[in-house]
Amino acid sequence: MRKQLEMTSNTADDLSKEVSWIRMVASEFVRSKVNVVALGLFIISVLTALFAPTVAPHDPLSQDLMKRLLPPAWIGEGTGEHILGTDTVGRDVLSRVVFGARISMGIGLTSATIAGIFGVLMGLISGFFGRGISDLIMRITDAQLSFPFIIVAITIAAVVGSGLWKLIIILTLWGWAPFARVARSSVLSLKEREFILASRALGAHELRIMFFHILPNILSAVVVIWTFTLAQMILAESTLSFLGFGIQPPTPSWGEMLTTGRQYISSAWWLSIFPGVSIMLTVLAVNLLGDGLRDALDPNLRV
Amino acid sequence: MTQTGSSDHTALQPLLQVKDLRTHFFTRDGVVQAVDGVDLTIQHNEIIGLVGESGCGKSVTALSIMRLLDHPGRIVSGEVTFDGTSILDLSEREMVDLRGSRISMIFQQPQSSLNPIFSVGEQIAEMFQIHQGMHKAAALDKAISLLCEVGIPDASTRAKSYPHQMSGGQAQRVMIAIALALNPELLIADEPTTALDVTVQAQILDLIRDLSRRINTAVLLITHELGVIAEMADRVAVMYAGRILETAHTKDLFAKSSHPYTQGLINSIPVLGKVEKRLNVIPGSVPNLVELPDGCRFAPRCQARREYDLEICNEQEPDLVLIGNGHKVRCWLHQSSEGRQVPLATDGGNES
Repeated sequence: MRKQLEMTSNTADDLSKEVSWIRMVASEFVRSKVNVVALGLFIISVLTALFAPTVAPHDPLSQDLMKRLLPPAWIGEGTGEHILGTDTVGRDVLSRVVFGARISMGIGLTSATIAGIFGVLMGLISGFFGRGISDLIMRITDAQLSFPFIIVAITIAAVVGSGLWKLIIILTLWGWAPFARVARSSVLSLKEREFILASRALGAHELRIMFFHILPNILSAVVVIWTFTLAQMILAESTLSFLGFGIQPPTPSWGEMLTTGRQYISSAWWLSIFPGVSIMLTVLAVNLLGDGLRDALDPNLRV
Repeated sequence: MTQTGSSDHTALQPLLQVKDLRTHFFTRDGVVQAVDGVDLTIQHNEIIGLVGESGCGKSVTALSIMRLLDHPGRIVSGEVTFDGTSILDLSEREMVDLRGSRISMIFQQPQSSLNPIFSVGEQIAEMFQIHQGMHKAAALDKAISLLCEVGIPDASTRAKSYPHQMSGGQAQRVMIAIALALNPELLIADEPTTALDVTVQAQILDLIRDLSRRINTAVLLITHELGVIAEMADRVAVMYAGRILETAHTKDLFAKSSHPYTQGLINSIPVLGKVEKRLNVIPGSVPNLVELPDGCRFAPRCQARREYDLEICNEQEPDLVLIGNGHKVRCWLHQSSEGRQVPLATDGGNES
């Protein structure tokens, strides 16, 4: 009973502390209007992706050849039924953009997160342990960063084929190197800081120093890279799908929609403009979010 | 002030004994002999001052005792015995357990010694969590009471502050709270007040002295200021170029300093109100620790050697010899060798 009481008081304490920290970061974050707008756009993208079946007015795959290439609702023959018009086989563009968000955000978030965890771990190991492992990991990242992404991705896709999970793996393999680099260089500079020596002098063991003292200190940098990587992943997914190595039709993805839209750009601009604008807004929002987070998370900027 | 149990103990063996410690740094330019044959004894509950110029090996001595040297530094030889156990033979695991709980250390820059992203309360609490496996809430309570003890007003609110929100003096108080949290037997204070305002310095020194006396902690106080030593230490060891040149009770050191280097240090303290054209200094600077002189390390700068025109100083190094009650000095002025004339072997040699 007593133990239970202790436990509850403990978690309550932790919770209140957690809340105050979040509140502190949040109040710093919302100071800038740009941050709020970016966060709003990001949330809209995520929600759209999550609730795509509810949000989309039509089935993104259902074709209706009678209604092919209808323009958006506010132009000529456009109808309220298909607000953003229809494509070459009469599929609703809005619904396809909405479901495309699911693919883009899903692939982006998953691969950026896996790449982040893997990269940071590699960076920590490389920064913390002896020269042998460190050099090995860094040479791998060098090799990684010196390959042109598109060529590597096309090669891998040509060998293993394309598909959702294969795409995620390709993107992860491509995206972890910057995390490892940044984590390593932060570890190397943090290691020389006096508080690391002090915590060693006060009896903290190496693993504790690595995960408790160093990792939290590099998290803000990691979060920022994560957002930028997320933006790049979304772009990369679109690029690969645009080139035909990513998501295969008929599954809707923004890149794939651009490919088909490209041929009709002079007659039916809505086929490519809407997925294009979606890509642009999402990537912009995520990038701005990264900037905002970087400023808000840095405790040294807090007053 | 001394516990009965521990005073019995004192008679048996010193708390820390360093014998012929040599720590070298293997750099590209050669072997830097940062600590080269240091002998040091610290008794229970004693405050001992280690004084010397910058770069003479004081901090490296401390880090060697803690076994916190990084590449390319390495303890080459010597013995460090803490409470009967040889520290240099312990496994890294045992050493980790020892640090913080039985030997603690505080540093020169208090604000950068604290982790910038955790509140000071959490950082004090961490000591109880790591070493005693205490729950976070209980550890935080203890942290707050420790903050009170080191003289931080409104401790429960201040516990939530981050290091950058504190002044240097307050941050050093926090460091002291962390270092003394588990009542260690030895506190190594590496220039604890050098980075602080003069007015704050005295408060911090008082705090270290009072707390260490109260919880029976011995203190190894590393400093380059003799003023700090005079105020705090029971005994002093004067270090120069990796060696101990003189060790004595604080009173004796100031009254009858015997090594020309110590005398030079004491004379170079400016006296308040006494205006001199030039400040007294020891000419020259600490020798290159890669290529040390053959004889006495201080010989190239030594005024007394020139006055007495001693040849031997440049040829052979003197030993650390006993010249009085607990007063040892490493100087040819006080040591006879093969029937050689010893100018000052009999008297205290203060009037050179």
